Amino acid sequence: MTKSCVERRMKTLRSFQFAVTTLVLIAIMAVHANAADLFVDRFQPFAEKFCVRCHNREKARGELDLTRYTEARHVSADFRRWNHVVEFIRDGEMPPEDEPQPTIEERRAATETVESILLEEAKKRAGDPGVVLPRRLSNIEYDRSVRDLTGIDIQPTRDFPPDPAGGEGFDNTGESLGMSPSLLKKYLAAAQHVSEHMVLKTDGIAFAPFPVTSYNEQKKLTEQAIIDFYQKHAVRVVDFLEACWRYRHRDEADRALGIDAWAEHRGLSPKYLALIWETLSKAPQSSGYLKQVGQLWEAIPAPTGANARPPELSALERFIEFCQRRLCYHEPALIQANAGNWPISHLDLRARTAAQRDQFDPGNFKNRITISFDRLKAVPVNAASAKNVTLNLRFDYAFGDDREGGLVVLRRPIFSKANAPPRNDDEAKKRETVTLREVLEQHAPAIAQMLAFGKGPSGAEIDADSCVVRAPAQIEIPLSAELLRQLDGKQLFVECELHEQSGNCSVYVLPGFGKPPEDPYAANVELLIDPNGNVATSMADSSVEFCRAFPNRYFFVDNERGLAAGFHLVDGFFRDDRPLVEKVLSEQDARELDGLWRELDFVTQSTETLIRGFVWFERSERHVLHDKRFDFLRPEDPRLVEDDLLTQFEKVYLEKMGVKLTDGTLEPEMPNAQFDLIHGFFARIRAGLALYREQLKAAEQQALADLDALAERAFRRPLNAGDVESLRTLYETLRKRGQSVEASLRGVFTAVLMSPNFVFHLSTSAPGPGARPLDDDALASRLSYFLWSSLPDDELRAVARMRTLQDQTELVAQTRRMLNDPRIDAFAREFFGQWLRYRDYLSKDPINAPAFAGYDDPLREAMFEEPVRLTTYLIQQDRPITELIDSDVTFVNGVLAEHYGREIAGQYSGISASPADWHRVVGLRELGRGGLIGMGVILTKTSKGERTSPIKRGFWAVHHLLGQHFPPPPADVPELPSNEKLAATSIRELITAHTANAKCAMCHTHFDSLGMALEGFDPIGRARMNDLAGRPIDNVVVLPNGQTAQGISGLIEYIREHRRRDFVRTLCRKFLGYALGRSVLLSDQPLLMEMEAALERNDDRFSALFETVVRSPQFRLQRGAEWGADGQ
Amino acid sequence: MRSKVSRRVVLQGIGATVALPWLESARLFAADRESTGGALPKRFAFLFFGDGIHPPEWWAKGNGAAMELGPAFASLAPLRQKINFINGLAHPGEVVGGHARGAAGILTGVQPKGGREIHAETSMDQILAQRLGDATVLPSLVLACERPVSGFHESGYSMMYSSHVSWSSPVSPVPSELYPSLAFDSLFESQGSRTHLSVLDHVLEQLNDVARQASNSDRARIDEYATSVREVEQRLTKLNQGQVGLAGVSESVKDRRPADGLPTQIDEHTRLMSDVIALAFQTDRTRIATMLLANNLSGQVYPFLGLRDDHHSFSHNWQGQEFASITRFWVEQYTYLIGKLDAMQEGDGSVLDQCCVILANEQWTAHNAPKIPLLMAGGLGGKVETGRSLDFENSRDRKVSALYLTIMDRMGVTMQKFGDATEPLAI
Repeated sequence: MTKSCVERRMKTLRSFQFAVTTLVLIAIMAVHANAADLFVDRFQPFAEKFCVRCHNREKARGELDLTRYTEARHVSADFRRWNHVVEFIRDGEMPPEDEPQPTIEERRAATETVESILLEEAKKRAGDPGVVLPRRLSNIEYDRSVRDLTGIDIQPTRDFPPDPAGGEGFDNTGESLGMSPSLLKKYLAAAQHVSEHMVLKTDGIAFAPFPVTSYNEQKKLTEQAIIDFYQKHAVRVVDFLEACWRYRHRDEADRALGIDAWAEHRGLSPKYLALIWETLSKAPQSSGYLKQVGQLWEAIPAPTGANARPPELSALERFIEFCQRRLCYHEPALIQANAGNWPISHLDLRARTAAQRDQFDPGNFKNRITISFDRLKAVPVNAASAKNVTLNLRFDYAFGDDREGGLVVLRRPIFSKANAPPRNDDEAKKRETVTLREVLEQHAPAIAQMLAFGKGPSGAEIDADSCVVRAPAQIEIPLSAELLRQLDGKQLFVECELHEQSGNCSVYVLPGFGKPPEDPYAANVELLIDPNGNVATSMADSSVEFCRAFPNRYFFVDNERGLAAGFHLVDGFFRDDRPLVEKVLSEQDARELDGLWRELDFVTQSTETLIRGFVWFERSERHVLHDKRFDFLRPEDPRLVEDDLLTQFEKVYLEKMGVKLTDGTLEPEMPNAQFDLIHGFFARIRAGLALYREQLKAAEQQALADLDALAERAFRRPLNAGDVESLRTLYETLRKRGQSVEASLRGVFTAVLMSPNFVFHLSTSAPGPGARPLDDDALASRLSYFLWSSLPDDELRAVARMRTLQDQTELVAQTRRMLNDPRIDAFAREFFGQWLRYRDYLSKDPINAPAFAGYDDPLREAMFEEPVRLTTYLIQQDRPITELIDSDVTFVNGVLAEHYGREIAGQYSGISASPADWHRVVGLRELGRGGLIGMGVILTKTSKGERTSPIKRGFWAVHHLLGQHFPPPPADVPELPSNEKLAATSIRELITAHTANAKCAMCHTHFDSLGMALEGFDPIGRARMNDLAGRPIDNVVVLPNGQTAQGISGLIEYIREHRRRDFVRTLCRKFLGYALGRSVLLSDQPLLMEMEAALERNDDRFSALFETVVRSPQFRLQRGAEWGADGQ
Repeated sequence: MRSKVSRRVVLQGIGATVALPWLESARLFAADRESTGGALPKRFAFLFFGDGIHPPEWWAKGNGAAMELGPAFASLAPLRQKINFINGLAHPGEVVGGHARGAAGILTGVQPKGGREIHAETSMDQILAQRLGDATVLPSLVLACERPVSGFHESGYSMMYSSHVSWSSPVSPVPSELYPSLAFDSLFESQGSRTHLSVLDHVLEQLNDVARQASNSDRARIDEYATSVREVEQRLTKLNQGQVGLAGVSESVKDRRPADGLPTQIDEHTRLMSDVIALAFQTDRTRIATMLLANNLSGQVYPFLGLRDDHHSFSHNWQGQEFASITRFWVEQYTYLIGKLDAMQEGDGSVLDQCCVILANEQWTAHNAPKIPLLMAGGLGGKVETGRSLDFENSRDRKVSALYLTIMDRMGVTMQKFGDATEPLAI
């Protein structure tokens, strides 16, 4: 160490001097011209005796020339520096040891003199609001404001340069936040980026989580909203069945409960549960399938527990699914197939399908069906698995009076290579068919005989290859390996027909391949019933009723294509959700869904997209437009959406499709289904286009009003007529330049975000001399940026609008409300992070991460988040500010809990369901942690590469936390090794050696020991017994006051006992600087003292700080326009 | 038809008259000479058509004046020394080919994602635009002569992939301009920067209001903001007007503005669009352009060739004379553009000498893409030797993406990787 730290120290006194505005200086000088001068009488003699030998004009040691100060007013003008002079003299740092020393009395008199000069001056100035420079929003304020304005966390300043800090070390001061052309370009790009998230909906402006400027994005946004809605309201029938069943068996206490309340309790649709309940309750008295549903329903035993579902319930569910397949309309395969189908008829098909989802299809009742078995495959002769295969066919009684009378004719069962039975002899020959009778007679004559081919009931003769069976019956046809070889590649087809004598009964046909059919509700089970017979007639009503309650689908979303499942290659959104809307949704939900569909159609301009896609498709894929008559038509043509061209298109299209029109009109010569279909399509297009135009007009009007409202919130004050007009003019200009409605709205919103009224914190100074109240809007804005780093919310704006915010009761009430809002996390993050210097941790991590296994981004992010969680908690629970030092609780998520060791991890896993959750954990003090000092982020931020840094840790505590000032180290301090493992001795020993020099020790004795007490934590904040090289840790230290302490506990005790005042004062000064967005002035001294006093009166609670500051004139007032040189 | 543009106007073209004085002077006014180090700017254009070509006529042999051209390239004869015929380059696996993804694959080098979620990659032209676009009014010009299709193909791909060559990010196809008149307007009044200018005007007005009410001490910060706004505004204005010095000649340029609406036939449409690209390059309004001539799975019709079916239908019959004539037609459109660029004097040579103009199709035949049909024209400011026929068919390194790396590198944009390529192609 050369020279000395002492010199350095004095030198930096100068650097502590902050710019005090010229205005203040002038004012102070004017006042003090004639005052009696304490300074001359009481301090100058002391200085001459002890100080000026070094601190004079020539020598100015430490760049301090005390001869420069000849009057008290000079002292108050330079109050920061004099604060430090006082501190040095009081603490015995000056004069230096080797100089003559003043007596204790001399020392006290000198310091009291300066202090009283300063206090006197401060009292005179008290309540001066000071000058708060206008400034742009800081990056965090910009991001938060945009988030609160749009509801989307876009973070547009992500690529901005970091804001410089000023004032008391915060980035919210006018002293530091400037603007430059290159930054302005970023603002412009950011504003545009934000406005690209804007989307025009039918009811005005909305914001999307991603930019929405292309069709793809418009579709993604609106389609996903509908699909999400469907998924949220998807029906699981079994849930409803279970609810009904539990309702039936509900406790005595719940007897009076209606089915509606029951549904709501279980989070189910009351409407649909009522329908199911009613259907099930009536089912046992019904007929056909529904009667069986009723029987299964009644067979379910009473519940045995809150969660257990009996198998009978599942049986009912399965049977209902079976009935849905048997009774409801079958969904046409074309709905999902992507064939080159005709769009117009496809739309028609989809409409019909949608209409039939909960309808009974009488076509499902057939007295004749063809059963087909799987294709047979020869088994290799020598295969070990070579064994017989059996084909099974069972006939069961299904419905009807006559339980024994079910006669079924098996008409010519036949093996064939085709996919269907042969239609004629030619085909039979070609497909190498062989009848079952032939096969059986040759290979299993016993079975052939049993089946009695050629014989009908009562011995009547029938076709020789056919037979008749009476249900119940089971046929089992064993096929040997030899036979399989013969029948290789063939399928068995059995045409089954209900015998004409069996009109009063119906029969199930259950095929089984390889094994007997077991499942009576399997998908391939068929029903034989005479569609015109008594049985069918008696079942019709109950079938209708069943389908009404259990449709084949509630809504349709194609797995791959979502809602854009119009036809083949062209987007054609088609709504198919009637059962959901009619049976399940509440009126309000249905309205919401309607709204979502309206938005989809509007935002994607679905009609226009459809007609343009149609032209392309009909030419490119279906070739319908390959005709000279269509040459005029291009899908790109803007006039395609106009009536003239559309009508021309329709006429030629109808002609091409063979519809004859009455000359010159759009009327068919004679009624014509084809005409109706095509004309219906074009009518739909016309209506859709007209609706769009109409909606656009309304949406535009609403959007302009929305923009005004957005601007009002962005500007943080009511708009005046000039603002509105200016925004409107800009809109008109953009429209005239050919921009679309939406693009023009975006342009105006960009302008709002670029406006000085948004970008800047402005105060319009009130006329008059002295301090004037801020107007309510400005006060609201100041309050919300202080607490939330963002815009006032609706409530705060409303209070400002009523002009009651200057009322202290209201102001404090609003402050309390806002402190309890989650948005207070902005204060927790920004104030503490900047004060205690860890806000840049994620971007400026001092740790060499690869050296520490498990030190990854999730852990780093959790470490960064922890103090935000804790400080938010302390503020919201209104805990004492001293808990920042000694809190016994903290907040951790899964990774951080692990990081903090076994006890915390154990405690955490006991309360947390997911490792992403944050929970409060307790007992930190006992574990040797506690408060901010024990936090991972602090311990890590004050480490270096691959070792701890007791110097940095100690300096952090003494300087940042406790506010003690030191000169910076000289340039030539020796470097310590960057890696603890490679160091020859422990870090502690290295430091002790290098600060043995008395001159170094002068500063280092003030903080090194505090850092060494933290050696029980490794560079990334894990508790440890040994350092990285395996040397045992020594964290017993002698503190600056001579006391011995160990670890964080010792430090906490020390600060609580001996440094409390330093801590409180530092916090107060920083807090005030952050709240006001400026440097603390001499005139703020009384307020600082009041803050301290308020804390004392209120058990150190956070609320005392917040409330004292927001009530203060500094916070509520501003200097009037005619603020005089006399400070009035 | 109301919007029909007369053929005569088309053939005159917007700048067909060589070296108008105002066009030459455009170079002198160039606002951003520093961005090119005083050298003439390099430009890149990419013309795309889908569904493959008619291979028997698609060939060239030899180099220089002696280069022999297949019938598909007949129109290129006068320009043979300015082009490179490149055979045998390919994209890997499923990037291109098929019915519904080739347009998205050709300039991105990746296979787009199937299903409802749209995901490809930033295309090569947009990388260039993002890196170089600051120097000009328009970062890039993205044109199309066929409208995008928004449906869904049964192969599992969105039709967005069949109709967008340029992608500004993996999830955002660049909306293409279909109208020649609007494309023309964008050169002189970039909607984006016009909007910004209007916005900044508005902001200045507000600053005046605010400044009037502010105290002296406040005014400094407000002035700082106003100065920044003015400076950015001036820069935008300079970009918008300065370069060409439209003042004295704007009428003659405006006269050449294509009519509103769309030409009825594709040949007119293409040529008007080519005129816009040529003018944009000549006046340095942009240095990057893509033009989609025909979609993948295209519905274009060619009644003027005596053909009534659509492009895609003919492509399945790629051996036929009809498809041969369609292939020839698209090469002629390419010839028209590069011929026009070559007729524009710039420095000691032509604008074409500073360009790289590619014509490519994402398929070879029948929806397969064993190799990419590709023509390249222009010397890129001396960075590319022309008048050659190159064959990579049997070469180990034959990646289209490698060619893109080369072109980007020679335009000053160096990438470590693009598509499947990590090394530039040696050409």
